[in-house]
Amino acid sequence: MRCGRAEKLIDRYVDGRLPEEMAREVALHESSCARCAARIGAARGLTGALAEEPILRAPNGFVDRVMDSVYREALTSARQAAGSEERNSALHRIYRRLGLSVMLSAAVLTASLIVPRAFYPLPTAAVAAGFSRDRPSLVKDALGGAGRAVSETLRSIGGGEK
Amino acid sequence: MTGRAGKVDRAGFSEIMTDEQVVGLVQAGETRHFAQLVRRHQDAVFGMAQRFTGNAGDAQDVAQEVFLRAYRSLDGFKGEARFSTWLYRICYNLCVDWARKRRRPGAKSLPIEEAAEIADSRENPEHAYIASEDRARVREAVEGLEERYRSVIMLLYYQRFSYERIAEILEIPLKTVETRLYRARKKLREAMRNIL
Repeated sequence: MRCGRAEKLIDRYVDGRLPEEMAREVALHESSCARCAARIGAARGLTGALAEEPILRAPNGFVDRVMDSVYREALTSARQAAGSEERNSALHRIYRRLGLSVMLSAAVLTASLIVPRAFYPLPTAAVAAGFSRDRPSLVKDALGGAGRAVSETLRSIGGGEK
Repeated sequence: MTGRAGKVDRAGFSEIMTDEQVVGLVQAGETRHFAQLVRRHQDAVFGMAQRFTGNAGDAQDVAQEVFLRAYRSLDGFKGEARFSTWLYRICYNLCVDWARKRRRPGAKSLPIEEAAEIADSRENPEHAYIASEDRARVREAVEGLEERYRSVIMLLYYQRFSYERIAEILEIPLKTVETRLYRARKKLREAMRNIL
């Protein structure tokens, strides 16, 4: 094995991650090459120094502290969900009332457009046809006209009013 | 981190359940079981946070935020990766964000004395009070690395994660992890040539 090849394998060799056969080759090279042996020694030294770092532990009471915040979070979420539901319900009530109001307004508007037409001023064409402007309503005109027509008819057939 | 434990707690909750099973309970509204997940992963998350932030106070804040964010996002956890991998990824991303925003230039990631105080004296009692000059220099050299190299070194040596786990957490190919480690150690060796 050449030094260049060995150098690339040193870390995996030190970590024990090389296939057995390849590890044997590196070991053989290590025993015959002082330069690579020094490199491997340095790699082992570094790995050892890094591995000496202590394992850190969470302080006592950490679980309780975390769970306090988790429960607060759960409570806040539940309140928000309840608030949201309440808001939705209130909105629903508002929309329902609004809908009813709109429907009622539409009904009133429709009625006000259709029913009072009888009380509107007469159109010019109607006046020209014999209806009078000073008569207060179409219905009244119609009723008056109908009365007159009935009287004339009765007169023409020899009966009715004298 | 296996994500498993082998005893039954006072509340009668079986700690034998996997992380993913516990996640299912929490997703179903059993918030109290989230404590089990915190208990299992608090050291890894806190440790990672402390390595990145450099002090226990900030580390607690960051670690707490990690768990809170995990809780908030739990509905989005579909089990495509292990829960622990998903959690450590959140932790790593928050740590990197924290470091980018708040870390003072030249600040050390962890004072030796503080590390020794927090070190697990139950598992490695001799490590708790070792404050070697070499270790400080190594730590300083790690601090000087670019983020992409520093993170793989921290996750491998300080968090004791495997190459495969690092690849999952950082969401990079295994080959990239190997390459980054190779370059990181090369840079470290150059920096440490005088003392090793």
